[in-house]
Amino acid sequence: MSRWEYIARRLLMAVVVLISVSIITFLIARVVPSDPAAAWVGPRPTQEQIAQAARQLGLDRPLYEQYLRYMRDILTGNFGVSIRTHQPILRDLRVFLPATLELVLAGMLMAVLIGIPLGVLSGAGKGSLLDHLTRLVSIAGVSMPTFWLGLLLQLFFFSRLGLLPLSGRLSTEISLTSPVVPITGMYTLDALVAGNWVAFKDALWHLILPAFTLATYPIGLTIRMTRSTMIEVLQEKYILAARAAGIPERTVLFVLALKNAITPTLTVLGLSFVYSLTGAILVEVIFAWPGLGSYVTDAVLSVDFPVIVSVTLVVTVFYVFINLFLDLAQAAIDPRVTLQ
Amino acid sequence: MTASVDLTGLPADIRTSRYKEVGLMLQAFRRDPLAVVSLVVILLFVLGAVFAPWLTPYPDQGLGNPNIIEKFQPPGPTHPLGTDYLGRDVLARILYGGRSSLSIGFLVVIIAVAIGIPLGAVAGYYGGRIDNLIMRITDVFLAFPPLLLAIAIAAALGSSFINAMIAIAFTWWPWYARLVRAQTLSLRELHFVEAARSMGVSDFTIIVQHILPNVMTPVLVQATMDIGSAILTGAAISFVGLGVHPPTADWGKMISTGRIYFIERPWFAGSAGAAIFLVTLSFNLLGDAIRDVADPRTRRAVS
Amino acid sequence: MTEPLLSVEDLYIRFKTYAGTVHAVNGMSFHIHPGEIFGLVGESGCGKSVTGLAVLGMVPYPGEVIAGRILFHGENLLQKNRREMEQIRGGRIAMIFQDPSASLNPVFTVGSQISRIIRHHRRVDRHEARALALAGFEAVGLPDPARIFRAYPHELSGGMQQRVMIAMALASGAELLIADEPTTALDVTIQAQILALLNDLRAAQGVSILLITHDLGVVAETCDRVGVAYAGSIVETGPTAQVLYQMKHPYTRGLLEALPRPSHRGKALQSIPGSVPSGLDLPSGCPFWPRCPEVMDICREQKPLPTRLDEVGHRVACHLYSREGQR
Repeated sequence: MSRWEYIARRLLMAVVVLISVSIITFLIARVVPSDPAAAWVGPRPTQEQIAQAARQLGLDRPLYEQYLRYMRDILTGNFGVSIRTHQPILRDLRVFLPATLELVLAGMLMAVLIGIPLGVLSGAGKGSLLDHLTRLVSIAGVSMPTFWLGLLLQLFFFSRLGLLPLSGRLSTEISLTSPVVPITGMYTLDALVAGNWVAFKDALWHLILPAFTLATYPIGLTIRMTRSTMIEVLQEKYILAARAAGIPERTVLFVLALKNAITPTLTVLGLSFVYSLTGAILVEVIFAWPGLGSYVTDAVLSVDFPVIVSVTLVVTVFYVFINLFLDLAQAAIDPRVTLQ
Repeated sequence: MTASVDLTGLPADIRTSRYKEVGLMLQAFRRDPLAVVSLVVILLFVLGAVFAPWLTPYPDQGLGNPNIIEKFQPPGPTHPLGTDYLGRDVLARILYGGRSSLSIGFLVVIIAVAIGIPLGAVAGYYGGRIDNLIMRITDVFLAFPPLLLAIAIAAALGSSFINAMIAIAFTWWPWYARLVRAQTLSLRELHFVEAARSMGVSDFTIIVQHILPNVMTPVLVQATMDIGSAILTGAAISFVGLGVHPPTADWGKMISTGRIYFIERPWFAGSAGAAIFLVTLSFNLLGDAIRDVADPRTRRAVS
Repeated sequence: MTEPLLSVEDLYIRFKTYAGTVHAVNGMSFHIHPGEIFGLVGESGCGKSVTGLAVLGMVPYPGEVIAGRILFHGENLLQKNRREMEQIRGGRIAMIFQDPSASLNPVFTVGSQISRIIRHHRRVDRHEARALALAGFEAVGLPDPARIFRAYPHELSGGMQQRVMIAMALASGAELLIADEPTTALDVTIQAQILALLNDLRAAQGVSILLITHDLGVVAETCDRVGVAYAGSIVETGPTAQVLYQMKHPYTRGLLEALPRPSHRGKALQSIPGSVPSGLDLPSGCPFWPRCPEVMDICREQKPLPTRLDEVGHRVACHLYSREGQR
């Protein structure tokens, strides 16, 4: 299979998955709840109100027609209106999605910067003290309920040490004195671009705890995966050959061996990214972070279906694209991938 | 001749595979003392949940009766883990909470295995169009972020213990279908399967008698590790407000109601979090130890 | 006589394992002159590969050198620190291995691998490194060097891969090339080409070669001098002609008789009875005595020292020729 053929097949698969995903979210939204029209009208509706709402929402139409309308709406960016707030969902997403992405990206950055080096070193020093410590940390990392870890970190860094802020994205006084002008919607980035150092530092300080909380699971996974593939790769003949050619050990580990070991780690990072998108739901609640997670939990409590479904759809589309990107990245890193 | 095929011609390890899993467990315990500790922790929590009414002097509080006079008592002699915002004994709540939190973990994995094994075996054994169809369905399910899909389904079905369980299991089975399919594919080509087929043994019998016993080891390893994650997911679902209804005790719910008091009175949300952490950690360590003895590839990497 | 480029003197290497201490190399001694091809020959497990790695300071864990000297230009390599060894490895002493397809990193282009080595040893920029690499490819007889530079290892044939390995090894101007079974994994015709190439390179660049092999045919074709290793030490050494055609040691004779030859057509192939002793429990005295057809009492008690047989340097470690054995 040529590289282009591989890419084409992979793209086609992504399209099929996306269509199936839209069907499932549609079914969850329109079919599973006993009566969406009743939910729309609110408590204690009359029969007439329900019937009118059903017409208004197109619920009296056949199912396939409803699906096509739903698809048309989604593709034109019309995610509908929140039942709870009666606001267009798209407007809310524009505010909340960047907040969540900022959190998740910061967490992934931590996973890469902490997880990969620790994995490489503990794989290279198999059986060493560092290796045993890392194994413990990584297993603890994947077993920790994020929401509990978040609480513990708050207790320690805010309440006991007073080092880091408790919650939110920005201190109130900072948002009044040197407000962040939204460009991307990620405060740290926007403040940086605008050269607003006061706000940058404040936003960064607010970001550390929730991002780290979110990163524990990815860090654990990344360490474990990197370690086990490094152990295998380091037994390869080409590593011996590289050492025999005098290549310094640091280069052998972090360039020559790591590039061979990175593919499974990338897959794990991709999984982690998605895990983080949903893990962010819990972290955001704990840290009062105004993102998709807080948005969807509020929606859950008020049975606000259009919001739940829209968030599910948006995050899933992200997931599909991340996986697509990872597969293509693997093909770029390892020339043998497309041959399989 | 259908069901009664003479199996004496098979290699010994295939015939005895029904008992192999037990042997693996024992081997794991011998090699890894941490696995024994993990099993003890798990057993303690399970027994604690089962015998909760006899273990605590406050079974009514464990079931949810408030006791406002004693609210926010810090840990002490009468209440070893303190009391919560309604004055209920936290230890009693943890013991009773184990009933829903642990059973959701076990049940989710059991349902997922029960759906995943037949689908995976059929896909792997028959191949072709059936295989393609089943695998594309798993692709679609795996395309969803698991927790979010579970939340969406649980929200659609309405908040309850059963619905939360169904929702999580619904997002979990594709992993087992894939695992079993991959194993079946490799077994299908083996001589003893071909031999059985040539002797006219029905497909059903081959799958049940010859293939399934041989896929149990990887399924067992995966399931052990998954119970921990399923408990975590269950806790997360009730944390966001789905799952069991108050006043039923549940670890996830205990954290979500306790978190607003956490900075001042960390003991009740803290205890629930510690319970989830300990149980999940134990299942992960146990699964790790079993995998190390079951899978020669990692065994080489470990030893 | 000129000073040897490399001399290994009374080298001992052992591996501490859970099964016990394995004595892999026991008093190995040999030397290589500038521009010479020296064959280190023996069955697997005789300590020849470990000796090759020891020259580069790369005895694999849990092995360790416990005695002996490895002199390169008169300097003891065993006393160099890690940084110094990283300069010598691949710089002044290079090594190639048995399986070229496994020795090349599959996820880097051939060009990036050779450039990395060149730039580590010579302070040159990317373009100069590329020019040197292309020249190196040409020197080892690779057609279309520019294409090879861009290629990934799996896109080359086995013979081309080994040529690439040799080019990499010599790209930094190595004076000594350690070739550990360089042709074993290759087809017979390719084998001959690679051996011819090594010969040419020695002539053209004056590089010395330590050729580690189990194949006496390869030795006969290529080597100036040869050392026959058994259980971690040299039992017979000398110019190739002397050792192969006037062999003295019973083990060398056994090895030669085990070779299939046209003159022996119709006769059963000979093999040496018994098996190579495990380094775990070596016999006392001469390590070969349990398998030796001419074993004497002294062989069981005393390890024979090398005895010089003639003016060209033919030596043998066997009591049949030793002073102790004559009494």
